[in-house]
Amino acid sequence: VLERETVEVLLVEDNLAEAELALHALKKSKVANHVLHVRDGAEALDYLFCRGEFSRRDAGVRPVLVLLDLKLPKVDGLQVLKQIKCEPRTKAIPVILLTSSKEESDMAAGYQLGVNSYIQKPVHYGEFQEVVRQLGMYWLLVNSKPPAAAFQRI
Amino acid sequence: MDFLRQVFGAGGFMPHGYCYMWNPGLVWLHVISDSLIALSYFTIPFTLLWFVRKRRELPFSRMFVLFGAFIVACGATHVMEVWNLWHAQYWLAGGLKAVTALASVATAILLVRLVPQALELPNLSDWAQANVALESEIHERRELEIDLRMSESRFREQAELLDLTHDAVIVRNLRDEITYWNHGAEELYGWRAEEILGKVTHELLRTVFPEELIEIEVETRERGSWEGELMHRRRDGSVVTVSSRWVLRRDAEGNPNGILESNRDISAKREAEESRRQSEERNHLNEIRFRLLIDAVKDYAIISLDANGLVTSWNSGAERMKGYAAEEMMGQHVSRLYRKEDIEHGQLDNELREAAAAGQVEREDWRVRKDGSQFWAEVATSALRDSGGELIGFVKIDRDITTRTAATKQIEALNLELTQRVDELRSVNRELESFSSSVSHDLRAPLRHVDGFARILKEEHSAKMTPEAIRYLDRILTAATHMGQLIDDLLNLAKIGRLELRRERSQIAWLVKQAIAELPAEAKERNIEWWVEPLPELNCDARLLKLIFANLLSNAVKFTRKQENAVIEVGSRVTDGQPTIFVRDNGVGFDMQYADKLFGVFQRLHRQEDFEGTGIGLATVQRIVRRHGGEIWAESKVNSGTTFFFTLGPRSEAPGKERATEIERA
Repeated sequence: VLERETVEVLLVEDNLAEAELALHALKKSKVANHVLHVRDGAEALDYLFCRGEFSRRDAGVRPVLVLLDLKLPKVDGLQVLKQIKCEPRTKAIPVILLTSSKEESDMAAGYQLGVNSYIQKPVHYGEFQEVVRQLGMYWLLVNSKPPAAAFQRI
Repeated sequence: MDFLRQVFGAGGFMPHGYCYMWNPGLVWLHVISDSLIALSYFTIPFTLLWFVRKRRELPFSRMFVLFGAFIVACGATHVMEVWNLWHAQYWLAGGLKAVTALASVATAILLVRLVPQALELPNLSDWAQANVALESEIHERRELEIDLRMSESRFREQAELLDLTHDAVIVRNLRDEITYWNHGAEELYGWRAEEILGKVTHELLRTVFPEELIEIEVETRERGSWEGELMHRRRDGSVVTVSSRWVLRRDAEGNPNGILESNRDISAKREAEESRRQSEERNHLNEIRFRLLIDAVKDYAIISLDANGLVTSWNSGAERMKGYAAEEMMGQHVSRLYRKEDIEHGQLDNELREAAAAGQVEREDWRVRKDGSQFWAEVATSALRDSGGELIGFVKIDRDITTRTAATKQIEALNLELTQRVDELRSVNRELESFSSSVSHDLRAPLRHVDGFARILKEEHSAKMTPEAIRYLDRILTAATHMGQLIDDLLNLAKIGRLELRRERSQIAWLVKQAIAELPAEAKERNIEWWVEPLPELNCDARLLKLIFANLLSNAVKFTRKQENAVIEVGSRVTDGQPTIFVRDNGVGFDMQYADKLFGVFQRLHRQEDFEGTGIGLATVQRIVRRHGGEIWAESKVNSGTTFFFTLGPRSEAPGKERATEIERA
């Protein structure tokens, strides 16, 4: 984990197999070269708010995109989402819920908390690869990143 | 003058007293006797004259006159005899005698001439006899007259009395012809006497006899009277029931000469009797019914008391509830049914006083059974009053509500339990939701990993693998796909059970069109002929209905796979008043003997290698149909295709009814 390096994608996923498949797909899509994988919600928040083991990192470095799983140990995905979206320093970071849950309640809660996108992971890996490629293309290349001003307290 | 002097003068003769030598005895004998004779002779003509004047019809009246003159003359001669005792007028006396002689001769001659006539007259004994006969006749007549007068007045009186009576009195002769018809008869039958005298009674009144007329007549003749009830017709045609009494009349010789019939209208009495009888019967029945009713009431003690609180009736419910038999309690005071302390507190007195004042009181209270045990009773006490408003007693209705109280408690307990159950169910439901969430997340995740890594292996490392290894990888990928499908289908099935049904008017044709459009790619790639008939608008949950079509149509696509000219048909018809939708294909079909397994979860009628599937689709369809209150069934034949039918309501319901309800709501 390179603290001072640019982080394009923050992948929050507790399941290693899941994470490996996602990383594999991202790598195959060739749109994200710098992906940081954290294993639970607490670690994700520590990173984003420069706390704990990330307390000495450069606060000016922000991920371009957060790929967030719902079911996470310690602090679950919706809690992480809520804290990101409540905090002016992180609010503008696009967050995508990438989950296998098809539960409407989860989807509704995510949107209410201000999630930027909600993606159900397809069972077939081929389809999953395609989805990852598309979202990487969109958020990292097509979409204009939020300017620095978007992260200041109003 | 001389002549006159000669006649009325003494003429020188000596008075006749000288002849008796003035012997006083002799003189006075002559004087008195002659005077008495003269007096008598003078009275007789007067009497005769009076008699003749009174009886002018008397025969020989001239004879009586002559006889009177003769007697007077005789009397005059005797007067002369007395006169001449002292006056010696013998010429006058002679002249008087001559007159008397003339009268005597004339009388004698006349008498002689009258004798033959007089002989014609009855002699004295005849007269006497005739007289006696006459007298007795006179007597008889007089008596008869009296009798007649009496009977006349009696008859008039009787007739008046008969007219006074309200009874119809009819007298008829032996030919039954009416000879008398009183006022009562006029009133009763409506004919006046003069209209019907001489008519035949039974014909006029169209009499209905209780027995044969001949028998009645025989009885009347033998016994002299008959009594019975008759039915008569009045002039206006109405029927009248009479109590009739017939009395045989006899003439003086004792021969029957008629019948007196006396009739009394008893129609009203009969009716009154009948209605009284009916009302008595009704009352009796009512009483029996009431008593049966009271006795049939087992769960209520129904007790009546007199004004002093002594028991006057005790039903079987009371026997059952209180343990006392009726005969034990009759006449006993009601207080023994109360707890001693309640009596001391005046509870019974209050209860009866309040009932008397308010008409009725209701309360809940303790009661004591014969065995001393107590029960909680619901009590209604009503005051009984006679028509004058005087309190005559009470009716008490008690009900043992100990069990009801217990039941209430039980219901409360059950309610509590139910609430707990509902809470439990809610938490179970929540668990179920989190379970399905887990299933959708946690089960799917490893599956995706299996599929993901197998695919990476196959795509990126197959160059280094034997064909057999690659075949195994394919098996892994197929299994993963199938399991993904199973999970999705099971989640769907579970979701339908939980889902709230949202009915709305839906165009079925539109839902079918959507379902067809969303079918797997195979449907478009193959050459399938679609026949979709016009379909009705139904009140249903469109999301679920679409799911039905998605399942049935994908089944149809799947099972026509081996058919070169696949035809899939969707249509509707009305069966038993209910719109029935059907989906028909000309695919492989199935053996109807397994039809009962068709809608079971995980039940499949085809091998996986022939037709893939999870065995959940039709179970899902059935669940949706049933949630709509409808039915689903299938008809099929191996290699001849299958038709699925479904309704969205019970098949007996009329088709217009739903629409009518809709219109009402609108």
